[in-house]
Amino acid sequence: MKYLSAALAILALGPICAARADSGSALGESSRTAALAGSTTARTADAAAVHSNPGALGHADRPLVSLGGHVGDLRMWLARPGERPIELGQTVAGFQGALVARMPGPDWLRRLRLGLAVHIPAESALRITAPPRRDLPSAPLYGDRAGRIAATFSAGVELPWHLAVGLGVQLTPELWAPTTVSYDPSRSDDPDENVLVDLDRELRVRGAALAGVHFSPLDALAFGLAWRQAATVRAYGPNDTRAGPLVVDAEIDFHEVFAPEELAAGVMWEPIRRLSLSADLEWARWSAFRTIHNEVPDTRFHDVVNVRVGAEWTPRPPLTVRAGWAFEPSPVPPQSGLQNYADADRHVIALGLGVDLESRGWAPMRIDAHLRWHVLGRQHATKDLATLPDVDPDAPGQQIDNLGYPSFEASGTFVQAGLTVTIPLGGTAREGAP
Amino acid sequence: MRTAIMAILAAVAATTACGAPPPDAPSASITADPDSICLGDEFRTVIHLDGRDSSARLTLVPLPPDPDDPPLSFRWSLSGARHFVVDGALAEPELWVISEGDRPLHVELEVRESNGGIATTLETVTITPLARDGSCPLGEEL
Repeated sequence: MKYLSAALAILALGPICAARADSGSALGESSRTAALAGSTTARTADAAAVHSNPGALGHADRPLVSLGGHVGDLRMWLARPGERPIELGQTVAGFQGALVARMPGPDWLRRLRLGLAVHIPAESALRITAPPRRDLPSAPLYGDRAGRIAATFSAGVELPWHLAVGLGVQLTPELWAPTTVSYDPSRSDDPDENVLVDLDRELRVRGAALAGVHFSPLDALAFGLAWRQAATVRAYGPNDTRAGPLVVDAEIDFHEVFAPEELAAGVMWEPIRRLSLSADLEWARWSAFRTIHNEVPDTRFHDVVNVRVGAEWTPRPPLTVRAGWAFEPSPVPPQSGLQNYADADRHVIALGLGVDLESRGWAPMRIDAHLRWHVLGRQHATKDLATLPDVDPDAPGQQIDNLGYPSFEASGTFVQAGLTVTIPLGGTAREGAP
Repeated sequence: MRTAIMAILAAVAATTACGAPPPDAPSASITADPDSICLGDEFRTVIHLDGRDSSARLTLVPLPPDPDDPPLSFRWSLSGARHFVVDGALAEPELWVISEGDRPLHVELEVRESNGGIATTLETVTITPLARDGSCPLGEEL
């Protein structure tokens, strides 16, 4: 584990460097997965299985390596009536890499496939933004969710009866960050030079488990079932200040980048040659969401069920076109209390294009591109005085300072483009492999 | 492990330390008086926003202002309730405003020192809902 920590730290030093279905990092899927709107629980043909369903990895027919990148523009706003909107937008970009390998050796060992997927955000290996106020408007389903390095290791094994099962672990970083500020008056006559700041930072790694089953009774039909454990990123440690009469022994414990526990069931069907359809139902346990301060929000989030469908059609090799749609209900409850979380039901519309150079004998390579839109509905929130805290209990009456008072509306869009290059490492592709 | 990480952090510091160190950050401070008005104030109460406690240097211990420190520049931004500036200006250390009082008034002050160091702070002039009998709990007449 210690070498892994060091490796992650070293990766963090890289200039800007490799995304969710593949590695577990939100908004960072490979282009094929993104173009299919994430409906990949029953599909096997690329590295998406590493995170979306390790069981499907057991039915992966070829070893491969893939590299790609993505860039997206989040335009989100929140506005109180009659005021200029507060912009919550940001640019989301990153790089991904994945490897799927088949074990060599005897037949029983060759049934085992291993997968590794890594996502590295373009801007920082780990970003945790602690707001100065608990009521500061934020977008919890975007925010810093793509702002972390993530790696997923999975193993899938092919069993008899058209079954494959798999297990995996998603590794996410966490930051141990103790800080001590002290004061030594004997150092200098200038008080500012007497301040001693002891910073200690250690990038640690935490794991979240994955498990999946893949059942492919026919070449043209497959089912998948996957479970993914919740993951969050922490920055924590004592923050002590001891300077003369100023003695503050505080503990920071920020929890960010929450990824809920998920249970996904999917089906893939090829009704005709070169056309495959897939659909996923995905239950996400957002009710376990905690604020960045590791508190239960004043109104708990809801669990949601996401619906994802995708189609992949190869009208004429080497060209493949893809389209996907997903509906993701917002887990954010009516924002009548302290917090001001901006979110609304979301439609995901995705389009993709793939060029399989290998099918024409040009080069052992597939290039996939995608465009994806998140279109959010309109969120309306009205604050309830009975649930807003009194910010100064010593003053007469109830003092209200909430940044969302008396009401607000919020909405937004997210547009993303990405490119993934996949190189098969030997073997022969099954035409139209889903 | 700790040594390795510290070495890496040192390497990062060494490779990213290009040019001069950043300028000292000043300290921004807002004092609002009153710090709350009643709901429905309708521009009756004049609120004094005072940034004069801001200082050119951030210190852990209280120090009298250094006469050698260059002057600070101020920039006020107000959002939330509809408001009017009745005295002072958005680039001065003091400001007097009146507010409609239908919602809090969020006041941000950006303080900049001559070398480019910037500090910002946010203060909210809260609103106090009326009592059941319609009176203002703060004692003002509406």
